[in-house]
Amino acid sequence: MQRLDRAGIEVLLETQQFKSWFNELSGLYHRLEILEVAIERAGEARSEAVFRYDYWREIAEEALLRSADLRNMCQNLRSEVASLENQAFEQLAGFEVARQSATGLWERITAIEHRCDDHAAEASRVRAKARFRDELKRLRTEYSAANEQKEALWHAEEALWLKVAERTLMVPELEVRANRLESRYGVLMQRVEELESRAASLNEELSDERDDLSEVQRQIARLRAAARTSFSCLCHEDFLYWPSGDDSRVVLVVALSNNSKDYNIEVRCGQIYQCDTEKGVRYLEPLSVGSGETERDERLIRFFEEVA
Amino acid sequence: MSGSFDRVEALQASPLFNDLLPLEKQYLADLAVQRNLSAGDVLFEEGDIGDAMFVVVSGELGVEVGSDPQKAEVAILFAPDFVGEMALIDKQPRAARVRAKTDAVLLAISHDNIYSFSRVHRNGFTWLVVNIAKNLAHRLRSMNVTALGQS
Repeated sequence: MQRLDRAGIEVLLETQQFKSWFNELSGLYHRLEILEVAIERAGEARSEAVFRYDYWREIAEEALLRSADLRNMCQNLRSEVASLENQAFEQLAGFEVARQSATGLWERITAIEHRCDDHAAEASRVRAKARFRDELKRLRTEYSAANEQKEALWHAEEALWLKVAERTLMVPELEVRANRLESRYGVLMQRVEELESRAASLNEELSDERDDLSEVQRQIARLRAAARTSFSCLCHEDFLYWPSGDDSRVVLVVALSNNSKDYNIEVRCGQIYQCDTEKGVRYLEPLSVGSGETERDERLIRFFEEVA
Repeated sequence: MSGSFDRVEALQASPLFNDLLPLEKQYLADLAVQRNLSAGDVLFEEGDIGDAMFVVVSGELGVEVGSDPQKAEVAILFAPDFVGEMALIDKQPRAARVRAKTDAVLLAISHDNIYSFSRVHRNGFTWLVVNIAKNLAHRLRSMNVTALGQS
């Protein structure tokens, strides 16, 4: 590294070689900034697309699971209906037996009553009725029991048919719901595929931009290395450094970009500053054009005259 | 006035920088750091160790002494007043709390800045110290007059 004073650096900054080096570096810094912003944006958009397709895939899968549950429920209901129908047929057979038994008893009662009523004479009719009284009483009791059983079987049969009807009617509604869920699954999966493809394309974009970024960084590193040999200085990211020709503890620096936030003073691109070798650019000082001092400082003379 | 303003003009308005040469004022203006305060923000607390002084560029600040919650406001600062200049002479704890009464803009000049200034502009530095001393002498005299009046 060559020791330079302010004048030396100012001469160097005006050379064509430095100007073209600086223009190339500024262009690369500008490109770097654009790429970094683009990478941030593409990364954010990709993460968002990934998050969204994961989210919608979960929702779609949930819809499909619910549809499968409904289809299972339909299948179970159909099995239940078949079983209930079997029970109903068995029950119907039992009812038929009970109905026939009740009818048989009713016919026998009616036959006895007719036989009694067929007697023309009142006295013989009364005698006949007295003769069949016990049998009629027994038959009527049996008939009443058989009739009750028949009625009970019919009610049970009706209850079974109601159950069958309930289940049979429920199945189509569940199937429609399952169809709706499957169609929603299809729509959602289409959205998932679109988002996946967007994420993939953003991934490609991101990868291209990262390649570009690496290339720009390589070129910047090459330019920085070139500065060391061409301008005999240290070149870091934001400043070029030369040890001051006047004072070994002082380093003269040239800002490579504007920065009004991160340093103790507002740094302007291309401006020369000075700093201490230990503190570095943590504490920058403006490079004064001169102290403007004269041997006789009128202010101090006036002051001492006033207080004398 | 949180936007741009002429730093040299802002310093020039303050009696602390009276008679400093344009080069000297420019140097200090380049080193000074802009501080933007919102109404209610505390610039520094009583007892804080100070290492900078502040020139008010715009807005209004209150100087408060005593303990919370009964701090008494003893002074109000406007542009081009300055505060905290004693910290440039000795790094002692701040004697009062200073809080923005309105949104305010200040220029901070630190101990390091004054050290830089003294190396480049020796006479300017001397003159700045004279101005600080004049200001302190004036305040001391006012306090003496007040104390004598009370006794």
